[in-house]
Amino acid sequence: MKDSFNPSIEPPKKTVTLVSSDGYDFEVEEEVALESQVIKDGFEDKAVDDREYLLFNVHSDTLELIIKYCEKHVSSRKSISAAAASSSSSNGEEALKEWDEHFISVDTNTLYDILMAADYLNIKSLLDLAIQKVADTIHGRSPEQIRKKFNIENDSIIDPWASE
Amino acid sequence: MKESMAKSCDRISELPDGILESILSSLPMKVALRSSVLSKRWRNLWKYLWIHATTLDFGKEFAKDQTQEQFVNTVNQYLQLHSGNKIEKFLLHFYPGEHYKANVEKWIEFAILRGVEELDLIFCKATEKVAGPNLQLKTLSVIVTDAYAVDIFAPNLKSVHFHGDILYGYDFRNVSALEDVFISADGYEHTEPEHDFIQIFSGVSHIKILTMCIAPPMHIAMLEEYIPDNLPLSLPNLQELQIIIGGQIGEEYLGYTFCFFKHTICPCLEKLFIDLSGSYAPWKPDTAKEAEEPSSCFFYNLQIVKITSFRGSDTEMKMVKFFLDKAIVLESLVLVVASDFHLEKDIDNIKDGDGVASQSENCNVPLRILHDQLLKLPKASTDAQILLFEHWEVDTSLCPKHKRAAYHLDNICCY
Repeated sequence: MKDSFNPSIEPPKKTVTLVSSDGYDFEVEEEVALESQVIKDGFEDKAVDDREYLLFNVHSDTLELIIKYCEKHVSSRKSISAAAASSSSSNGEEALKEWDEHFISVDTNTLYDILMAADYLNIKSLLDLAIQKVADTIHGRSPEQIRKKFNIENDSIIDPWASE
Repeated sequence: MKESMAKSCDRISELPDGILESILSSLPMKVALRSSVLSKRWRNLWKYLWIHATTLDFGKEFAKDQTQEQFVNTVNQYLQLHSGNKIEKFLLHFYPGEHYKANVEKWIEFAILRGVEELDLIFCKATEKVAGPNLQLKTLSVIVTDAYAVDIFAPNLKSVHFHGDILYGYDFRNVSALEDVFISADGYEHTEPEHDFIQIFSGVSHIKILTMCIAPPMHIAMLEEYIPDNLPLSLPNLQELQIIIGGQIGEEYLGYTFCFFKHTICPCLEKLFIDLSGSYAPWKPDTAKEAEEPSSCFFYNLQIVKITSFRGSDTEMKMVKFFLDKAIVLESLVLVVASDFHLEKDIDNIKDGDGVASQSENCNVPLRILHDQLLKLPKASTDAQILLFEHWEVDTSLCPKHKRAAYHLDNICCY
């Protein structure tokens, strides 16, 4: 899938710096960072030249993914509303859904990292997406298959209401 | 990801309670319950969700693969755990038989005591009583077969839906807030034709919205012939009526429909929906006598008539003609043709501006010819517009209150 971008001339974008738990700097556009409710809430209180956020709980690997997600959602929202404004037909929402699905198809550990980061940064749509992904993984599997999938050790002594 | 963590590590279980609870709450209840056997960590998680749940869904998904006994036991266990004092919605899909009737009554009472507003009951066989001292119930929806009677006492009840065999008795007591009724046996065998709809409707004559199958018109036609003293039927506040007629309408059913309007007093009727969708069998030469159009019947407030799954047969055209003729303030007549009314070729011709289509071997009247025919019909209301839609271009702004699709479920409960 092709990432859509907006080629029209705009003033230089304001950026903020996100610092991962392992000390890497990520410079991202302000509107991308504001996808996080936590950053948004503290945004007005910060001085304009000091827009740097230390994210103690987010590793650079995860942060990279989170930024990718937020960038995609910001740009898609723009192109969807542009298409709506010019009343041209667009399958933008459909395409974004597909993109999301692809994005969240990751191994269990990464999914855990995304869940924790989305929760910490309070990015609701991403948190919902990741929660739904885990729910979908559980749905349709037997308890034994679920344990295997997530490496859950069965430490219960009895299965209280198991039907078997 | 570059570096995955050690494989053996169970990180999902390390998630905070809040996230795990969100995960469980996006699963059907039964699946969420099963997660309790995964490990100690998971054992009690679902209970937090359940204790204050306001929607108790013992529906189809829940009932699946359970015997009656298992079903009763699990529902009892669930209800024991539930300690919230407000239930909004209670769904039950169950075959209680004589043996579990008392259980079902207890469950319904449980929901009613917690002020349930929407009760959705699907019984295969039951005699149910829905009553309580202080009923908050706003919506009641029941799907039944082989039941005998229902007894309803619910002063706040706004909406009642019955789908399945028509019952012998509907006892509506104190239902002054009731606004809409859905009563349809469409899709079920009409086992007994002796239901007294005059009696059934007399308890709810103040309703504003009604959806019914062809059975009530059939009953009225029978009364006309044998017990005319019981007529007319009076629905003085009725604003919206939907008639569900499975499949194509023939002269017999058209006759019943005419009869219904002839003997029903509904001066406020504004919207009429006729749904002809259903399994369609090509029409045999009609042996029934030709439907007789009532001459003295007029619609003084009817603004909208919408017929779905229209095929343009002679009988259907006769029905259309009747409404155009009798609805003196009609604004729109909307016809949505049936999905198997295929005319791609003709539509292309029309788009190309390529004259009249000639496809005489097709037994369907082509859409365009149909349209021309419709335009020629006389109209009592000169401003009435006639709109013809393909089945896929349905105008969603004009829909009946009751959606029929919601009741199309195969009625299989537990064993």
